[in-house]
Amino acid sequence: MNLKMIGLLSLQIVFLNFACFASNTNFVSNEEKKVNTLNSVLMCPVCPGESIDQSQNEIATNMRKIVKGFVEEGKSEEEIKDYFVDKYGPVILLEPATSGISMYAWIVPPIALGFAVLVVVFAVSLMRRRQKSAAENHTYGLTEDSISEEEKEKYFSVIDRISNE
Amino acid sequence: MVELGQIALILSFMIATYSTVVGFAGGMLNGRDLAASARWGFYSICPLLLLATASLIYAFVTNDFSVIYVAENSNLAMPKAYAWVAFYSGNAGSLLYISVAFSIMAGIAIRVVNKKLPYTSPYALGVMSLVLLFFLAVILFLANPLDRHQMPLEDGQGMNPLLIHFGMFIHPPFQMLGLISVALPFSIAIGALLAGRGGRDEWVDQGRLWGMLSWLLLTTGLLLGAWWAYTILGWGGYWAWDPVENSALMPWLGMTAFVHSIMVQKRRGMFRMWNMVLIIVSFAMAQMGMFINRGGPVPSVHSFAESTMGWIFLAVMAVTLFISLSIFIYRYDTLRSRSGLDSMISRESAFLAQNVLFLLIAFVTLWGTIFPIFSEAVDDTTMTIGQPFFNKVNGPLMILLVLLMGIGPVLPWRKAGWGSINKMLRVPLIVAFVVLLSSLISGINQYWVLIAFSVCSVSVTTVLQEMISGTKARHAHGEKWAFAFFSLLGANRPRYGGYIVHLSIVMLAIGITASSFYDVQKDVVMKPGDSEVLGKYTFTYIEVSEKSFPDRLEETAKFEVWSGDKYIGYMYPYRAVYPEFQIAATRGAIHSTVLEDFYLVPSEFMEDGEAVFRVLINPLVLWMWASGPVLVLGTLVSLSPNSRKHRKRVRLPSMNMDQNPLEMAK
Repeated sequence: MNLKMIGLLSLQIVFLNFACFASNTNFVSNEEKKVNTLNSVLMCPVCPGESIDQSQNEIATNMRKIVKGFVEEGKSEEEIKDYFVDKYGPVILLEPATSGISMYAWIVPPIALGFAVLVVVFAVSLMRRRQKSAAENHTYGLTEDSISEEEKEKYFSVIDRISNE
Repeated sequence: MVELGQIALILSFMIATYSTVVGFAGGMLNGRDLAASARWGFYSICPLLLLATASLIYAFVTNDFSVIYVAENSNLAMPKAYAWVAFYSGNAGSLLYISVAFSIMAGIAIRVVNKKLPYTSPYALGVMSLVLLFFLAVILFLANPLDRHQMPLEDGQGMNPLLIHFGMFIHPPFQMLGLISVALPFSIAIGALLAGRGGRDEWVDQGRLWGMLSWLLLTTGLLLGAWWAYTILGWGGYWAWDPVENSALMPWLGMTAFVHSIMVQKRRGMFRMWNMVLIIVSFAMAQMGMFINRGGPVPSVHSFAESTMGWIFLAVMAVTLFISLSIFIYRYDTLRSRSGLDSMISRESAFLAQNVLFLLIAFVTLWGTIFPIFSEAVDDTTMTIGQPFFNKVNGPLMILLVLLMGIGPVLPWRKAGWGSINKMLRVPLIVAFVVLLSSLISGINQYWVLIAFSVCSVSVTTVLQEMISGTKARHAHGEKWAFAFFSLLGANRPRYGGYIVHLSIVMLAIGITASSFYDVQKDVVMKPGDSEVLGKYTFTYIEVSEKSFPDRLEETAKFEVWSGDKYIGYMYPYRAVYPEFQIAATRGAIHSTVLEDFYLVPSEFMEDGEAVFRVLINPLVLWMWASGPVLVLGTLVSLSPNSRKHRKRVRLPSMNMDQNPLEMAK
């Protein structure tokens, strides 16, 4: 128990240390944060796939300036995005919109998740059933009930221990 | 010299054809001599390809611009050491690199496999030869790096300046090695399938060994790539969900699932079909990566500028997938599991859930990556999907994975009783709660970060708990503490090696979480002499020095930096402009500490002496890079063979109980 307590405490200290950086958020103004967020969702039109935040291209540099100017004028995020969408089309947004064709980008992952869950449930129940029928077919003189659950667990834990070593 | 290389290429192409045909024939006719002949043929390809490589590198070193590839990828100004980088920096050369690297790895693999897997080996050899044959065919008929111009040139075009970086010596070779090495476990698995019953469980140990090596190469490649992006691409990030990054990540996800689920087959004789499917899918994803990399339709910074090559890779991927799955269906009956599932809650089912999660993340990544093609086809607009989408969708799934990583290993095989679960998870859950509270108190208010940290702490605690209780048990038997600890690790290396890898993944996860949620970024305009403050850092822009080179103009800024009252010293971020390429390469100056990186990078030097700098504070990034060595160590521990002397032999022989003895005798 002693060891566990020490481990517990040291882990906590480590995590508390990690947490120091949480104060970082106050270093920059909200305006600057807004600029950064916008920069990272706008695509640089000539460097495919890269955000203007990331790109070293001149166009990206200019777009960053435009974004900064707009934010300083007090325009909202949506207004600024709309400005670029009007100019370049919805292609300019790196985060797919929730309407139109881009909607499918968002719809497919949850469907896939649902499908994955179904697959797991199906596979597990299939394997369960197979195990049960196998147990019925090969009893080797032992019936299912001849050994209690607790005993079984003990037995398997011994096997586990041996085979883990 | 170049002609010699050409001859070597043609010869190796012919030998690979021979090895493929004779290898498969050896397997089917059960001819030992045939198989041996194919094998020795395969061994001889490696020196031939090395010769071809040497001739290409020689052409680079001697500036032989009559060779088209050399002219396109180097010039007189290039430092000679970069001949190695130039060798694989273009499309044709990288194919040669992949071939030569694969011939070496596959040669070693087949040597080992031949000793251990009598039934599988000839077929596996056939598949490996086929893979190599494909690359050699592409080189010879489509993209030969040794082809010459009619008219020799004075000077070459030079290498892409972004590649002039130390990281380029290691990141691309590792990444390509990783992608192609997926073919090794794939060949062994397909070989085992073709061998039928004889190969059924026989391939597991070897599949795991080469699967893990491949995984290690892929991981190293990804980490090195992230590190390279962080230090040179000058935007302060390390991962952008760029299509090529994604296509390297997908096979990694597949292989990670594979190296886990193969353990279930090793230990329990289950998941036989699943492992086959996983390795087939992983190899398909690796091929997909090469497709996207070689001028696929998806825009990316990484692409080699080629247009048709990619489609050949895609077609071959489709064919590979079709044939492998056909073989799979044909041999379906040999893949029945030895036993079923005893309980819904067991290590087996945790493995299954984990596998499916990995594939799900791979699928989402694939979906986001090919979405531009989809939207193009449906709506005529190429919608590129970027970082925000992947972060939002994959982030939570990855946290779930880390949680499973904490719980899975402490669940017993077969069946977990609630009692044992309670016993194993009590302390981790308490720790997670304490971490949650202490994070809250210290001011973390982003709920994803809170969740991620708590989940990470579960993983760390379960691993530590296992290590501590094991060590204590050995100590109780009279072993000294340190000795007890190391002998514990030594006793079950796959397991404790895996734990070490898990710890490194937690380090990675913490680094990624902290640096993506709590990074601070600011663009500042400064004149020499100006001082600015960001957080506890005070930095003064002293001067800029310009240096002109034949191919580039380098501007290096000099900063004096203080962290609080502590003097850090000078930092020199620089930016180089390559007029010919219209590319600017920036290199950030980074001051790293355990807690955070202070990162300075110039974005623009203006005429009037003002300059724009991007200043970042990225928390815990060092942990990400530190996770690399830990991960390698863990993998190596996990792979190192147990010494027989110290082991009780309790495992059943790798041949199966339900193997037909008559068939074995054949």
